[in-house]
Amino acid sequence: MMGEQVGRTEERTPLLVDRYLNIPRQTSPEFWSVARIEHIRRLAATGRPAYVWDPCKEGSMRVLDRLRFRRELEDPVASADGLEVPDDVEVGCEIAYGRIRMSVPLYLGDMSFGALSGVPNVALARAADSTGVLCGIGEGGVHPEVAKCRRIVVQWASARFGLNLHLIRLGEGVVIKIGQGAKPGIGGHLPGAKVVEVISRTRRIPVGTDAISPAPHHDIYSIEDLEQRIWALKEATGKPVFVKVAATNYVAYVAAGVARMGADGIIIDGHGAGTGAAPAAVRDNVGIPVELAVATADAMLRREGMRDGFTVIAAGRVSSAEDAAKLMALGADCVSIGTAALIAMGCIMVHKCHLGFCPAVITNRIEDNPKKVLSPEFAQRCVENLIRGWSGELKLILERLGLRRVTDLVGRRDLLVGIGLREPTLGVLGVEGLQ
Amino acid sequence: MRVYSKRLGMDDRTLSHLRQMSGVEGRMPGEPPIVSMGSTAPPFVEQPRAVLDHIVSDGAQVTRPSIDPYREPVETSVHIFGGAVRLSMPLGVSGLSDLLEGLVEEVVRTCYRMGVLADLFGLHYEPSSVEGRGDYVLTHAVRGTAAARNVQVVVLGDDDVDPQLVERIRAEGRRPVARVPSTRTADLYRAVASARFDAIVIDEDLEGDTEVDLELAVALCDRVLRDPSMGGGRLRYSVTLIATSSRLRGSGDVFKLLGLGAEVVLLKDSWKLGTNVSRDTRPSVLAERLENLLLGMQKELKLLAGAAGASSLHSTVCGNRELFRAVELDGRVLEALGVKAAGSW
Repeated sequence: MMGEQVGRTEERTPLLVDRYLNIPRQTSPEFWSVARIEHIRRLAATGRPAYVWDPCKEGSMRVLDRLRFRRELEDPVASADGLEVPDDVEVGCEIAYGRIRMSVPLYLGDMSFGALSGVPNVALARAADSTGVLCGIGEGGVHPEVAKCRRIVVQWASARFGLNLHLIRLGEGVVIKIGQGAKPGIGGHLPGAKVVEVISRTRRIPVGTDAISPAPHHDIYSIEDLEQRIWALKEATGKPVFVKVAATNYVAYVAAGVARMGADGIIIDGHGAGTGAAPAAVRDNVGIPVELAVATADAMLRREGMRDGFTVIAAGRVSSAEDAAKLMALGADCVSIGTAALIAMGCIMVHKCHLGFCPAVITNRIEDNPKKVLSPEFAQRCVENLIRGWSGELKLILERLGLRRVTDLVGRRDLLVGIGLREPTLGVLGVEGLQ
Repeated sequence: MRVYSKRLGMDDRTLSHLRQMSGVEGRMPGEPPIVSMGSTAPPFVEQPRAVLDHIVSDGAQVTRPSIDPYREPVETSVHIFGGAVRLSMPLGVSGLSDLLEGLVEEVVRTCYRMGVLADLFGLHYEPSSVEGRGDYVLTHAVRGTAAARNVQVVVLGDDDVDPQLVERIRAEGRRPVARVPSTRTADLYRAVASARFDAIVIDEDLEGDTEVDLELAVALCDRVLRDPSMGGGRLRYSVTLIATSSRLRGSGDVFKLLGLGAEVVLLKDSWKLGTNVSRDTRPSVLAERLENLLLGMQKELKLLAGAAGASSLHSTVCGNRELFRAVELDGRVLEALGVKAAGSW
């Protein structure tokens, strides 16, 4: 009894985690296979491209993995070893009607303070600052260190946790979160076990209670309501406004509506995207893959004459630069990564985030006196390296494709071919098939 | 048309999911299991085992709002047999023939208490607990037993449906229900409906591995019942469509079958595996686990309906194919289901 009390008050120096855990053997099917994790770790360790064509797609049943660049079929050499990253290929671009400059079309997905345990939030935001990409902060309010970073995007979600005028003006833009790929139609979910004192203060909810955000925004029940919010946020902040939606049946109409109502971009989050907590029934049965959603949204936006300058960001299972390139060929301007960034920081995909005892100390419950914490420098360096390696791979892909600028890739469906995909799928993708 | 051959058994993920809800595993019985990080569900990561695995449900957003299933009411009840009987959720329990008699009695009582159907098909006796609970029990014709009043007689589907049989059953004060395999064509469904049966049970297990997937049979039957030539669609509201197969796994499957037209889905292997029932299980323990499982599934159905923006399963989800999309299915399968390809407008 005495010992326990002493143990509680005694300040101990936490162990700084600055190396990766061994990847456990995967006993059940997993999208984030050992090969994908190892690929990301290699980028995170070296900051250099590992592959031109991502070999991890072999055998995967995902629609995106069954699309190939025609160029790959002609020139299948995948390894990037010994290849120079070309200087004359431009991967920088502008998004949101030219208002935000990106060094590489990469958005670090909206992962909240609370879902992540603080250090990863800070590492992501600092890495975005140092590399010139964007980092979404998620819906749980802002970590004080993240608030010091410039290239963040503040999320305006249905529970409005911790939001105030000061906070929404902090970043480069605002995201109105309508839905997310892991639980379309359902609000955010932070299990009570992870709502500790600091999270309670940031989110302004009692300690230990489940933070379940409302499923809809109760002030957005139509596209016209959304328009009012978009313009209210634009006036309040003077910044671009994005709308984040899940990939669902009507995503094409939603994209057209969002563009017409004056938003600067849409983030489409597909089936299979990561989450800190979601009901399994919803995660596994709701929503469509992002590759189909991006293709259909892009087609609709073009048909309606609203594609120019409007930004489409694709999210959900984006695991490599090749995935990004394919999504851009299908019509995305930029991709968002969440899980891949966590893997760069040491995630080993054990699916335990909702329980709060992450072995890689990324999504663990925040403790007053922790035994170990993630090293902020290590985490930031890994994410920065991932971004550098990723942009190197993207440059090599563009070079192979004979393109000089990443913006030239957007909407080039003719560069892709579907392998063994069925006719209705090819029709939606607008891609020719090979049997 | 058979797209996937019937595969029984359950993967560890699904089994653990059901057992967490029933209370065999974990510490949150009766609650939908919470998970994290990306899905590993079929057809993109795990191998698809059925047409159902290719169907995804909608998440309502922007153009119409979703309903908050944690805070707003989502009605899960269905009215069956032409509105005469109200079930609290579109579920039932089947496959009781291999259980001990004491457990069967308890299952019948539990189903009645929970407001779901108990299907006694394959049982060669009538449990005494049926008495007074007949509306919630599907019995295979057992003549001359004491509890016969008000109990549904289930007749096996046959190509020549005998309308007089229906009359006879009604005259006995019972409810005529036809049980058919998923092999037959539209003619059988038409004949069953015209003969004024109160319900059709499409049972994929009736003839081994049948020629038609249950999904396609349900979609076809729903379409036949809605056909204008069949009384202007009125039959759809007087004939209840019940679907069952031993391969169905959980609320996801149930929700998708509802979308294809079923009003009630009877669980077979999944509830038995989920409650871990065996010869040694005490009836009271089984009852508790079954109640938990049903409550958990009801909450999951609410989550799925709320996410899709539906406030009522019966009036908004049943037969509403527009709430669903299919990924990587052939054009002819899509047409048979009446479901659009994912991503199409």
